[in-house]
Amino acid sequence: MNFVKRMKENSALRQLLIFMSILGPGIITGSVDNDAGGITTYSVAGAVYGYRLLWTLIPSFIALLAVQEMNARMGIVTGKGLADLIRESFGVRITFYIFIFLLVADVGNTATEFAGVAGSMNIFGVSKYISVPLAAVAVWVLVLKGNYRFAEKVFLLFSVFLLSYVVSAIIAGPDWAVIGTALVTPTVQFDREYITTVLGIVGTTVAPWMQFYMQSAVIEKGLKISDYKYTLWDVVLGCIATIVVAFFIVVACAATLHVNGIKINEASDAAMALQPLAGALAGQLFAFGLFVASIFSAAILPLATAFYVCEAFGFEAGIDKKFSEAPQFYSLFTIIILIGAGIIMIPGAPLIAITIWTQVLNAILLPVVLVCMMIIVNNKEIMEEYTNNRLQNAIGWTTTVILILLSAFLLFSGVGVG
Amino acid sequence: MALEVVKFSYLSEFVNLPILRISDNKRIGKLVDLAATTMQVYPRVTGLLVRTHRSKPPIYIPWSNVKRMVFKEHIAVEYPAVGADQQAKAAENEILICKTFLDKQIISTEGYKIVRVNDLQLLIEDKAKESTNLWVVHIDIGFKGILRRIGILRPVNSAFRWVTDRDIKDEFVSWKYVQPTATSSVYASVQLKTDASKLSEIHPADLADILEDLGTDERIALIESLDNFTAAQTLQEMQFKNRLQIVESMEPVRLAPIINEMQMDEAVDLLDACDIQKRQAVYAVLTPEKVTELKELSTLSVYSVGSIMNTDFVSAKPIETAGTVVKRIIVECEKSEMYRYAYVLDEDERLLGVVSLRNLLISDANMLIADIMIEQAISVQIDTRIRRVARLFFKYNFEAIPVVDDDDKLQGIVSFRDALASVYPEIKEEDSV
Repeated sequence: MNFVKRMKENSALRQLLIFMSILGPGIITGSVDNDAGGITTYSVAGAVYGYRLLWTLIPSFIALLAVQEMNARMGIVTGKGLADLIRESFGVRITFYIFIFLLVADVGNTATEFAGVAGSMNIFGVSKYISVPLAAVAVWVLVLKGNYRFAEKVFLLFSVFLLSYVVSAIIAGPDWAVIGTALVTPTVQFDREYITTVLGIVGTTVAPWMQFYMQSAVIEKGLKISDYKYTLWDVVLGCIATIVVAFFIVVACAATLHVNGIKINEASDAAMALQPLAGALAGQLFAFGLFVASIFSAAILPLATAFYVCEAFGFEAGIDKKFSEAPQFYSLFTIIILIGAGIIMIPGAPLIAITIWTQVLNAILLPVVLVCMMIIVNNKEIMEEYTNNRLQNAIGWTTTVILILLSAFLLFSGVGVG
Repeated sequence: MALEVVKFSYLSEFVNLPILRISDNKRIGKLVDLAATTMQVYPRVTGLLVRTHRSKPPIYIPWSNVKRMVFKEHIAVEYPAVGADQQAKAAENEILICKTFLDKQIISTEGYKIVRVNDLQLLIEDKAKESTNLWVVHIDIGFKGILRRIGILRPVNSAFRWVTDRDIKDEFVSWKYVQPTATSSVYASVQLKTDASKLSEIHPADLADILEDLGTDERIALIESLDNFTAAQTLQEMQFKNRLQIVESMEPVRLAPIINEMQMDEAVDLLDACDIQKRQAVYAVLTPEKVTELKELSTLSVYSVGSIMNTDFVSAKPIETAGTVVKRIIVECEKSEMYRYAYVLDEDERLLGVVSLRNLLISDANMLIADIMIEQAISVQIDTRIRRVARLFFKYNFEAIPVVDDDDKLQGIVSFRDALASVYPEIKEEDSV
């Protein structure tokens, strides 16, 4: 009792306690952000361009921070999900097209996650015809029959394994002085492949579905505006976690694969290629990290997508409802997993094409979602006194405009290699 | 007024229609919203909101000025309105139906759930040659409404019929069961009060579930439109974090009467979690007696029974008859859940004994309480550890235990449920997830 009393009197300790209790949305979103698609993109970027693309992580970080902060603020102030807000502000037509795109993109994203499961388990000698169906069933059962909140905590714990990339990178023995310079020296190259990779990095870091996820995580937590400053720290921590992991993936691949001129197409290729160069341990750690990230996102993505689509169109949704109460929700969830896992099961499936097209869809969708967000977050009727300040608007609009330009460049020059 | 014979129409078929001036058929603007009065059972359209210029706010044209409607083509009106007696302005109680309903969430009081409005079905009533009334009769919450809004209903439905041999099903909620979550009037500055009369039939526990699915503003608007007692009951059923969120954004003047209706222990928990300014502001509105009582409970240590005890209980005097006390319990149990026992007190409010509801009921109504009460009732001190109290419950199988102060005066009671929830916080936690 004395201890509690002391705790209450010590303001620094108390603030830390409050912070711990509201910690979550930002960190979890940050961890989900490094999914199979992200790991693939960062690996390929490191293998093809070495350290030259490291600088993109800094603007990506700023954009990610700005976007997620807006989501957190919108969630706290309105208590409504992003899908709700888009539907109420822009009407059914725009919402319909956004969500058709989002649905298709997320089916592709889910397929990428299952590809990550297949690839990483392959390194441990498990065939994809065993690992993928098992993973799909496990995810389905876990989310629908298990305790999702509990599962989320387990996943969060597992995301510590993402730090295995740090170990992999250090084992690879990179040249830190070169890395330091590369991080702050932007290099720009106007060819299709380069732009595609840059767009891929930004697109996978600030993935469109993350915005929906972040906002509903904030609402789920029941945060109040007086919690805002702590939430801000949560968001910052989550963004740092995302970028740090991304940084080490790029470094690990650049220090080994790029130096030796090895080309890769998938994240599991990177794990495979790392083994002879940096030792079996580095490769296995890389593969394990990939597996954890893939399965984490393979569970969250279909669930989240089904949820937003239902939210936008007014169907009942939620894992606490019965099938008869929310048929659309459960059907969507199951279908997304089935198609996602099914695509990977097809012998000789065009995995690279799926990854690239998914990224292109993400990249088209992102500016659209961002424009919607910017309009909503500046609407006084919705946000009252919590609209964007000048700096937030400057970062938000700059990100949006750059993304639109990059996407436009990509679309008009044809689709490059991911 | 000439009108094609269409019995039912949809709001989406009116919005964006060109508005013509009847005298010369010149286009004056397009329809952006319909104003309606909710004075009757169904809302009746009373005016048009017409945007005449991009940058100007829409103008209001009374429904009586409509002279011709050509279905899905245009609406012709008398403009500007002739005759000084004609009301050219909206009444303050008119609601805007697009702004209030379209794409917004409503509560379907039939199914106790929140649904999203895709379209509204309007009934066109041709009373006489000169007057046509438009009534809102159904809210379209189905997929068909979405397709109609996007403008692809016909091709999609044809394809659907070709495959399944039937039309896509309509999903309507009758106006009778519609509770809007927010209401916008023609005057942006006037916030119409949400009329929550349709919610009165819903159990507070269901209301709490519904509220948790709504956005912050809608939650507050609905809670404020409930009567104090229902609001208190509903708040108590909500998850604590959501409860706190609502309380923090409510005006103290509106909040205090609701707190006043809550059970003491719940009210104390809630106020203890609020920030100090809010708590002070609420205290300022409540009666001094209530505040003293609240403060007494809130300053107690978190581990003693005083922090979870309830000060609502039924007391009795030894010289009263069983019948009198039963009558009192009947009155008291309206607002208190603690009616399983009546506590027998002397003149100084010292605990003499306890009599259970069961004993009261099986005894003759004329029996004296002194004769049927159990003396030396088990009681606990106000600073007893909750864990010890939980053990007493386990041992004696009571439903509630009286709490006394150092002077043996009865201060409150602690229920089995509250003790259990304090000893096993995880139960409470799971319950609220």
